[in-house]
Amino acid sequence: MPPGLPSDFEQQVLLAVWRLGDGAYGASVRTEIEERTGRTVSQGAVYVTLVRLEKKGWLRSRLADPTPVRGGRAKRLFRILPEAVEGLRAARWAMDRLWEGLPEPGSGRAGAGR
Amino acid sequence: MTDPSPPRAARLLLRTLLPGHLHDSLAGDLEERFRAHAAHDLRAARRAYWRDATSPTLLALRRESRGMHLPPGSPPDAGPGDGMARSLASDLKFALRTLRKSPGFTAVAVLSLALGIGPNTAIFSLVNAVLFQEWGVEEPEMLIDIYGLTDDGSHFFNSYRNFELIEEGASDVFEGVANYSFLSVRMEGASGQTEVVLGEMVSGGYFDVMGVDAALGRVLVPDDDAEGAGRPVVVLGHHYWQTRYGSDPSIVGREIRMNGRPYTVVGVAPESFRGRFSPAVGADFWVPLQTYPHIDPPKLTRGDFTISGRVRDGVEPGQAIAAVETLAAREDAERQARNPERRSRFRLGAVQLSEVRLHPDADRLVTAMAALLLVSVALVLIVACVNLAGFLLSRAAERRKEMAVRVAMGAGRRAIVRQLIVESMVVATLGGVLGLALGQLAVRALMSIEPPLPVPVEIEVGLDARVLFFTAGTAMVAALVFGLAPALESTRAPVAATLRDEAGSSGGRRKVGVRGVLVASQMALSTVLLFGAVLFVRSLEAAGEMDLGFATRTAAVVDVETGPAEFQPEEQASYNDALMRRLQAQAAITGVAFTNRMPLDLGTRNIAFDVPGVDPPPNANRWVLEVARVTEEYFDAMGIELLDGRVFWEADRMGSDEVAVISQAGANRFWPGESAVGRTLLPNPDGSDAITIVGVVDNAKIWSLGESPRPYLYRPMAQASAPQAFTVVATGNLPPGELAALVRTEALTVDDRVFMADVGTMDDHLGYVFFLPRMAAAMLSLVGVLALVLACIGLYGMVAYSVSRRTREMGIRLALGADRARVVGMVLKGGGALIATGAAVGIAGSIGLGSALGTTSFLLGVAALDPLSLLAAPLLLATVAVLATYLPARRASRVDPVRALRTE
Repeated sequence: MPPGLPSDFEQQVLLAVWRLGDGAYGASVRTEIEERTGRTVSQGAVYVTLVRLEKKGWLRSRLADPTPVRGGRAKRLFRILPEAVEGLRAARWAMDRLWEGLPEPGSGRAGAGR
Repeated sequence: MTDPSPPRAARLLLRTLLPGHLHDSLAGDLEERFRAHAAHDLRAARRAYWRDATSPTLLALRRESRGMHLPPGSPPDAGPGDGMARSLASDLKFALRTLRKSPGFTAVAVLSLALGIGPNTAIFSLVNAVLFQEWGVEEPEMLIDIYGLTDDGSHFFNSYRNFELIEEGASDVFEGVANYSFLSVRMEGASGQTEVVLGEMVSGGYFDVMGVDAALGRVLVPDDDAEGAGRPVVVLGHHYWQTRYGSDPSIVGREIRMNGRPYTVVGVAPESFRGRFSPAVGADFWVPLQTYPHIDPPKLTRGDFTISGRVRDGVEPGQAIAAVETLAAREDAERQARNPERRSRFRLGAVQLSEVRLHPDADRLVTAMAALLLVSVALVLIVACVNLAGFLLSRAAERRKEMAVRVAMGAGRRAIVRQLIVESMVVATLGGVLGLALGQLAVRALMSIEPPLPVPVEIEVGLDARVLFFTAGTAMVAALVFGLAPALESTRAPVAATLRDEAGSSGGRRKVGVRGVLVASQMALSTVLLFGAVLFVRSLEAAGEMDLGFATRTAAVVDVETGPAEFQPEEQASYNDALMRRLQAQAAITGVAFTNRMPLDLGTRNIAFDVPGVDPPPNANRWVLEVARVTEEYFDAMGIELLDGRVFWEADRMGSDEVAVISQAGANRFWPGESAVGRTLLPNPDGSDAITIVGVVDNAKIWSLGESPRPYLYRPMAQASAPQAFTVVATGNLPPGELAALVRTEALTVDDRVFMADVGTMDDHLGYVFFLPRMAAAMLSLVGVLALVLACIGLYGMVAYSVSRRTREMGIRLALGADRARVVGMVLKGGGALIATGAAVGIAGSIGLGSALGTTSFLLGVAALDPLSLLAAPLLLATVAVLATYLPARRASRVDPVRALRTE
């Protein structure tokens, strides 16, 4: 029972985790989103979404070994689950349906959220 | 830049905000980013870290993480921030639930505490308003107040000459000196009504010396006070402006009328500065000294000024004080050189304003009064707290089984104690809030009592941070101190025995000891409080019955001021004569007199003279007596008895021989054992204008009820120019109130421009004399009764509880054949011993209190160790206590032994 479609920001977080593969954790997800979309996001916002997505069963996390650059604290690594990929596809599909027949914007930033 | 780390405070914030399992990974993420960032811009990195740490999304994260499954390998939830907060929250929830389950206990405990805290808040609010408010001047420690010192060392006002002396002679230590005096005027309000308000007349440098700037418009400047300055100007007090003009900013530049004269408003003082009368009683206006003659011409020569100097930069306040004293010593030496016969000394006293609460001499009395009140309400609080402790103890005993179960289930002792402390904290908070509300109600009630002073005085008693802090502090300390002991006590019981029920009732035995101490101390405390209350009530009664030396009930007293009419001296005389004739012609008036000084009216008028054949007092060149000008019928109207010679008659007029009537105390001082009639007083050093004593009258109270008989002089009003302000005393066959109205009507009939500030009866006039005793008696009675009620509740509760704990024991005794009366007697004996101990300690405390009060001037006409007052309170309390023991004991003894044995 996939719990509906992921929201805009949830999609961004999910996509970032997916792209990052084995290296997805709070800080890297944030950087990925910021670099790709050009928007700044707060760490808290990223984190609260990661936690929510995990609760929804779209992500799974585990603790990695602590590193000195993090003040000796462990990373919480996230991994995307198949249900999330499903959700992302469904969301993309819905967007594409809605775009159908409309003129493509020249910039090509369609679907990046507004 | 070696290894920068994120801002500590922000890290701490994160730690408290975030649940432990999330904190680590999120903080790690932030730190990683911070380090990457800090490598090129540390400040930006820090800013960014702060932004992340204070982001509202963290709160959402906290919410979101609830119920989140912990990833394998994560440590158990033991984050420091989280653990404390969460268990405190659950303790709180649990405490609220338990308290709700026993509403009776909660209500009684909260109410007891509220009744204890309420009076404390009220009294503290008052004391705070009167004693702890700032003067609102710049650097009060650099402001030196200068007073003339009298021979007995008390701080008195200055003459204008003193101001000139200091302004000229001490300019090396003061950058500015201000001279000011308090006065009341008739202020015409916006809608034309007139009221008497209190203000200050000040020298031009006053505001500069105080370091006060206007809230609106400007303050007074030296030019306003220059001789021949243009239009009279006034600065209004903030409170007056707010209440009478609705904070209307267009007031600046407008004209208002004071004593019938126009004044231009140039500004409004800031709210923080309320003048120099007292921080609690604000001045409503400030006028320059030079315009003062417009208000009240004859007073500029009078010596009722206070002087303040602003100490120069780089000069120590102590140096300035020393300079003033040196100056005074030099002036004294000069005066001595000019007049070697001189015996009085010239001395000045200088005090840092930061050391003064109201007035250097009044501070001690006011502080003592405040301390007395604070101590008495603190005692009430202790009684209330003892109640609370008693309730908590009983409760703890009842809950021993519950605690034992929890300990058996693995709850740490610390957790249980914390739980109990949280419970009493909740009770304290509820009690504190309720107490604060009660206290504010009490303050409002107190403030609605208008002190019967010649000028309406508005004291602002507010709820400020200090009061809140005080209340919260009191409540919390009460909860901690009185909640901790029962908490510790209740966890000390042996778990297994408690669970097996073995400690069910006998374990209570030892605790009767603690409870006994509580009962006895309540007895003692309320005995002392009640004793104090009774003393003050009796003192008030004594004051009411005191012989004042004049009749107090029947007369009407009306103050007539003709100032606004601006009579010329002849007009004034004819007005006064016409009014006297009209009043004498009234059928309802049987006696009428005028005087310029009523006894017990806070005023003072002196005359200095030599007495042939009598040496002047030590340290003075001449005798100085207080004096009143009176008309012929004064002694009749006032009911002051003539003891020797005659009173004034019509022939004592301007131009005839100067005459006087003296009080018996005066006659005794100058001519002990001889007749005073026919003796002379010499007001002028050359011996001219001798005053002949024609009569001696009974002593009257002049300054205060507690005074010993004072030498006092009466002189005929007809032998001086007609006064512009005088008091009419009238007796007759109408009630005094109606007589007063009649006098008022007649005074206005003769000329409707005159002003009457005070139209009332002799009782009204004496109101202020009785005000303080009345207030003290009322407050302390309230406090005493409150303590008694609290003590009764507590006493009854505790005694009844410990008796009921012994139900099982009684059952056993009865089942074994003990006599019912003996069982009751046994319980009574135990209770009686406690009560007797409490009463004994209480009486001892009362004797201490009594002798402490005996050394002060708080009590009038009551021996501080009045035996009736001493015994009344303990007897009353002992009766309550015996009842509290007897009733439950009897009930317990009637119980079926079998059922008693079954009770836990």
